[in-house]
Amino acid sequence: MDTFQVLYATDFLEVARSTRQRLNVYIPSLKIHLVSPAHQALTWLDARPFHVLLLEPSSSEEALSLLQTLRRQFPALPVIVLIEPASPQVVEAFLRASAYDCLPRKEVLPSRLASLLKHAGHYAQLLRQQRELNTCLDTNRLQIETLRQQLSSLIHDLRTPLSSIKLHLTLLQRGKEERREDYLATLRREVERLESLVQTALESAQPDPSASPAARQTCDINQVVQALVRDRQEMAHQRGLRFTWHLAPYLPPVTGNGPMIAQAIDNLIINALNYTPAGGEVAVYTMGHHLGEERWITITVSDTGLGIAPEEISHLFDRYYRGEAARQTGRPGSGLGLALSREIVEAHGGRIEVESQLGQGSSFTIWLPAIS
Amino acid sequence: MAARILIADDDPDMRHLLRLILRRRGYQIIEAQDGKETLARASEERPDLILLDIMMPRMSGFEVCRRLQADKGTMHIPIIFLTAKSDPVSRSEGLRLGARDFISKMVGPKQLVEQIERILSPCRDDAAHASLASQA
Repeated sequence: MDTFQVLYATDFLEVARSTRQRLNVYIPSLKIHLVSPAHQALTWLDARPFHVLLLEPSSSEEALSLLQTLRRQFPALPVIVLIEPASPQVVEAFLRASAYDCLPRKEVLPSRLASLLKHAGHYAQLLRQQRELNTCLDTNRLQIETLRQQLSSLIHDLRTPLSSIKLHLTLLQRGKEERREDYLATLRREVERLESLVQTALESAQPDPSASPAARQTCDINQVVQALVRDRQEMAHQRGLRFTWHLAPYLPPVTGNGPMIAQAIDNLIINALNYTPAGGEVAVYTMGHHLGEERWITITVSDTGLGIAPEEISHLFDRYYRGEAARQTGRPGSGLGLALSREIVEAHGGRIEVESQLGQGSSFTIWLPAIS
Repeated sequence: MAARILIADDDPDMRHLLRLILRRRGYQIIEAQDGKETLARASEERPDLILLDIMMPRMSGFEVCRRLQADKGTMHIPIIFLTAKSDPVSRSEGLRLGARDFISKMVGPKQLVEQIERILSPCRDDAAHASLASQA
């Protein structure tokens, strides 16, 4: 049997004691806490939870004012009012003020009051369950949205290696015979990238996220960049771009998920290649930095492309944001690349900076903490 | 007319990056890869600003700075040292020799451009003033 905690706030303490006894005869599971005078109800409700409030005031005006305050602070609490005289106007006023019920204090039968308190207790319980269900629904909606975003990210990430595979398969058929080995090496790396993306997606689908921590290992960023630029050379060549890379010697390693870091850098390179008109230049630099005791490395992707207007820069890393350059060139895209890059870099304790001049080009710099 | 900047650094990657980001801002770029070439390009081209690396082959940035300051033809050109270290001794030596400021190479392109623009603005006014004064 359910036990309901009832707060009985009364201006008639002696009568209330007797009423409580009789109520418990009918329904022993009601735990009734007496408090007097009635306006002390607020203090008690602040201190601990109750299922129902039984309010027995001496004055209708004061009780209405108290009820309004209670409604603001405890909107889901059922309040049963015992009032005298209980004229139709008074009862209507209390019901309008959202009382659960309003009864004549001297005439109400204890059996009826006990039954009403029990119903009000069930009502309070139902309201609480409804709130819990709503919270569950909100959580589910959030999880569905997260899954939808992860799916969009995965599709975005799969597209780049797929396009590259398509390009290099064409080159295998029609390209230079002496470069077959290069094309095959690129194809192998792109397939490995696809494999890694599928593996990451499988890991993130594990029910227990702690069971699939992102694989953290020591990464040589120059090696990561070298593999990427080799695979993007053909794309740059086809777009009529000068594509150079400048790798700092003796770069300290970083700790992180190599394929994810490669994905973050690749998104910047792909964007630069996409939004730099033919005849332009795209350059990738790696550099080491000492900032006090800390060591950092930067990967800068600089281009002579379309550039970004100052007002666009603050939105660049928003998911699904596609800037003016995307609209101008009509290049297909999801607006996810930069958002993903930032998420990956920040998950590794780094940051991304942008320096750009509209119509002249941009530099995107990834900062990653290095192993000292 | 676009301001002309002489980039003096033996690291071709650093010159390349500076060239790319400063051209974007409308500056004309001249380059030198060692101390002696810097002296020659400075006196031939009379740039509006020299970005001078300290550690360079054939002649150090400090010696280049001293010689440029001693030459009436180039003494008005503002010199900014590019440095990989925040070494206070090098800094005071550079300022004693007449450099206007120091720029750390340990920053990204965004801060690099911001530093250069912040320094270049008053330097260009000074250069224009010195040029007018020498004509008067």
